[in-house]
Amino acid sequence: MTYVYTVIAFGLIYTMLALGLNLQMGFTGIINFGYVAFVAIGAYTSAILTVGHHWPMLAGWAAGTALAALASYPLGLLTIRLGGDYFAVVTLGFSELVLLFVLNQRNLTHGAIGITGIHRPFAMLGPQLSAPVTLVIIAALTALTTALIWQIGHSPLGRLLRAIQANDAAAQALGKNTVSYKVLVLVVGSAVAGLAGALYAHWVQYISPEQFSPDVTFNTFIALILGGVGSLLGPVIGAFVLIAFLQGSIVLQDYVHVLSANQQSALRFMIIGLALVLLIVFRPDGIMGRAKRKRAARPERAS
Amino acid sequence: MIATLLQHAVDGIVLGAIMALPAMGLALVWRIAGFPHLAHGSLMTIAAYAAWVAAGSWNLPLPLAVLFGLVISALAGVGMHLGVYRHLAGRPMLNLFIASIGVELFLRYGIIFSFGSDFQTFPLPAERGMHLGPVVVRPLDVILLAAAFAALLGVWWMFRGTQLGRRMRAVSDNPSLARLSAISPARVHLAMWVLVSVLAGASGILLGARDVIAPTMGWDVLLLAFAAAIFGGISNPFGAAIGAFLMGLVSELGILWIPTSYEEGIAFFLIMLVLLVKPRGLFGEAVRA
Repeated sequence: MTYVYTVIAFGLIYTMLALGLNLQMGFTGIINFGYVAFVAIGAYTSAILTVGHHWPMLAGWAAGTALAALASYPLGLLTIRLGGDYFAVVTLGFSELVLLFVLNQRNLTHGAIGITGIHRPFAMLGPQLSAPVTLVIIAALTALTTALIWQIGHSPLGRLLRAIQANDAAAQALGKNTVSYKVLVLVVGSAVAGLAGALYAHWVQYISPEQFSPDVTFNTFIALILGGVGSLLGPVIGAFVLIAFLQGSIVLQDYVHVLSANQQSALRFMIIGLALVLLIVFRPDGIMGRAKRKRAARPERAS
Repeated sequence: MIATLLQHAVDGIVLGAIMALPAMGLALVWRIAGFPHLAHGSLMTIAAYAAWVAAGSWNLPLPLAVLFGLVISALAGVGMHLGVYRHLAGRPMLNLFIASIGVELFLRYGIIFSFGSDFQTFPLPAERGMHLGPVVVRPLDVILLAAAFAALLGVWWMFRGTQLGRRMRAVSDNPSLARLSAISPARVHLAMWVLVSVLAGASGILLGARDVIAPTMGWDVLLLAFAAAIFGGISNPFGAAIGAFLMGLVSELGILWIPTSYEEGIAFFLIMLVLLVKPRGLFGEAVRA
C-alpha cells in the first residue's frame, strides 16, 4: 500500500510541477532551466518554518509558495529580456546558486545533512491514516492548480501568452507589454513550483540538498514532453507515466538481481535519456500529441 | 599578501584554461549548429575514461592513450551529430537543447553503468610543485596552460585563416547562401563536431590527469564553461575563451574575500551582472536578425 501511495503522491507532485512549467514553456515559450530552485525554496521555507519555528502547516505552505514567487520576481525583471537561450542558462545558474546557498547556510538549512522531522498533515492520526489524508489534500491542491492553469489557458490572457510564444515582436506591435506578462507567468509558475516543493517536503518528511539537483528540472521537462507541451492535460499524463516508470523500475530492483543496485539505477537514467531523445526525434508533441494547432515550422537560425 | 594574490591569480588562469577548451567548443556549436549543447560534458568524461582504460588496463604508453581518448571523444561527438542532432536541424532550438540533455543522461549513466561511480586516477608518477619565485605551479598545470593556448591559437588560425574556417563562418551566417556557393553544410557540421569533440576530449583528459576521473567531471565543468562562454559572448569562440580566463581569475581572486564554498556562486553572480549591461556577453556580436 505504501508503494501505491508513493506513486500517487509523486505523480501528483510532478503533475503540479509540470503544470507550472507548462504555463511557462508550453504557453509562453519561457525556457526555465532553473525550475528546481523554486521547488527547493518552497520545500525549505515550509520545512524551516514548521519544524524550526513551529508555524502552522498551512502557513508554512503559504510562505513557501509566496517566497518562491517572490524570488522569481527580481530574477524575471533582470533576465527575462535576454534571449530565450540566454535565459535558460542564467536560470540554470540561479538554481546552482540556490543549491549552494542551501548547502552552505548550515545554521538555517542544516547543509548536506538536511532537515528531518517534517510532519505530514494530521500526523496525530498516526501513519496509517495520515498518509491517505495527506494524499487527498495533495490531490485537492493539484486539482485546484489544474483548474487555475485551465482557466488561464482559456482566458484572453492565455491567448495573449500563446501569441507571445508564437511571435513576441508581433504581440509587442499590438501594444502588449510582453515583458511584464512574461514576468507574471514566471512568478505564477514559480509559485506553483514552490507549493509543489512544500507538499513534497511534508510528504517525504525529510529533505536534503541532493533531492533538489537539476535532475528534478529535467524530469519535469521529460514529464511535460512525454505528455505534450502546451496541451492542458498532457502534464498529468506525462507525470504519471514518468513516475510509474521511475518507481516501477525501483520495485523491479527488489526482485531482479542480475545487475548491481548501482547499475540498475544507472540503467534507469540511461533509458530516460534514450526515451527523451527518441521522443524529441519522433514525437515532439508528446504521446498525446497536440490535437489541433500544429505549430507551423518556425524559420530557425542556422541549422 | 602579494604572494597569495599571485598564487590565486595563477590558480585562476589554470581554472580558466580548464574551462576555455569546452567554452570554445560550446560557442562553436552554438554558432554553427544553433543550440546550447548540454552533452558537451560527457565528451570530456568519455575521453578521460577512454584514455584511462587505454593507459591503465591495456598499458599503452601515455601519448597513445591520450590519442585513443581523443579519437573516442571525436567518434562520440560525430555519433551524436549523425545519430541525433542532424535529424533535428530546422526544429526549434528547444528540441535540440532537450535532445542534448537526453544524450548527456544516456552517456553519463552509461559510464556509471560500465565503470561505477567511484573516482579513478591515471597511473602517473607523483608530481612535485615547481617554485617560480613566490608561486608554486604544478607541472601538469603548465601542460594544461600550454594545451589551452595552443588550442586557442589553433582554432583562431583555423577559423580566420583556412578554407574550412571561412566555410564554417559562411554556414553559420547564412546556410542557404553558403549552399549556393557550393559549400556543403553537412561537411562543415561534421568538421565542426570533430573539432569541438577533440577540444572537449583534450580538456577532459587533462582535467582527469590533474584531479580525478569521475562520471560527473564533465558535467561539473560544463555549467561553469557555459557561464564563461555566455560571459564572454557565446556567439564568438574567442570571446568565450577570454570569458573563461576572466571568470577563472575572478572566482579564484574572489575567494580571498568570499568563503571558498561560494566560489561557483561568484561566477554566476558575475554573469548576471554582465548580462545586465551587455546582454550578448562581453565580446558578443550584436543580435542577429
